[in-house]
Amino acid sequence: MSLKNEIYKKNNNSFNFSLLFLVLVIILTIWLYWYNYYLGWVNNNLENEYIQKQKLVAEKKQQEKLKVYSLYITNKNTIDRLKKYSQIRSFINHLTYISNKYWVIFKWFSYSNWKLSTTVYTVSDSNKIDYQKTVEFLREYKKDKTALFNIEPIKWISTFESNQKFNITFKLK
Amino acid sequence: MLAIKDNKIKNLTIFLLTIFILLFFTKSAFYNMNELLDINNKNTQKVKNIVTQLNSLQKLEQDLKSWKKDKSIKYFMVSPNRSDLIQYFYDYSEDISNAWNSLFISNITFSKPSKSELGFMKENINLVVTISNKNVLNAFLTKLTSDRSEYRFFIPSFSFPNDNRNSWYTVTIPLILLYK
Repeated sequence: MSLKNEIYKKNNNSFNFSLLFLVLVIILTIWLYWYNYYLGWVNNNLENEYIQKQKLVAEKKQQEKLKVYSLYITNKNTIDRLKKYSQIRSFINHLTYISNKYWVIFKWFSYSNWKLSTTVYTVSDSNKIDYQKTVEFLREYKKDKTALFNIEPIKWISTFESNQKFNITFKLK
Repeated sequence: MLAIKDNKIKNLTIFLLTIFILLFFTKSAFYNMNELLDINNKNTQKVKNIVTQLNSLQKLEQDLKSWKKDKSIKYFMVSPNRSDLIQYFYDYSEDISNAWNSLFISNITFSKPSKSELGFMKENINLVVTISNKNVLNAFLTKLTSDRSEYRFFIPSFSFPNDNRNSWYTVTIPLILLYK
């Protein structure tokens, strides 16, 4: 009798376990369906939000002043550099200033790639001999705080009677 | 004995039902969830990117409102056309020319506008001018590169005799115009 009871009990337990497993599977499935529905809803909202924001971005990008300002701010350093390198008039004036200060004569003015090339003439007079003027100019200009340029090394110098002549390349500081 | 047999049948039925639900409902819902999670991740990233972009544009807009240096971008706001530019140069030439000073435009060459690496439109213009003296040249170069002028040009290179002559000379001025 007790053996029969035990078999019956065991059978009943396994039935309960199967039932519990079925219930768990049903709960999991219902939860998955609900979660998928929720994810679908969230995705829809995200899509809508994206479309709205994209419209706003497109509207703002259409504003010309904002577009120009944005480009200006992004490239400010390059634009400032371009402006500085375009100041041809101040370079010409600077050469006149150097010419008067160091008693040298510049002939020809060629500016490209931030470099200015010119030919320098020094002429002997009652105050100084040509080479003294040359040396003084090359030595002192490097120390000059108002100098706009650095001087690149000189490749040659020629002397004819009381004149000296050499080509010089200035590089914008 | 009959009850035990009955229980076994119920057990089998429940087992089969569970398998059926797992195979035909739970599995597809699970795969569907993974797919939706992927889409969700992509959408979240997309929204995050566009919000960052929008925020930076809004910040720029605010900065622009409080910005006092409008003239720094004024010259990029132009929409140049060839006839306006031609008139601009020739008008200037007419305006400054008198008995002592003269500037003649000999030649203007326009290049095809293209997008510059800075993001602005770029037009290269080559001007050939004949001028009476260095002062005229200086004034013209100032006009071309001034922020207050209608058009603000950049000059990448320039050559001239610089020999203090008092006679006429002809120079070529390559100009770059950047605009919206």
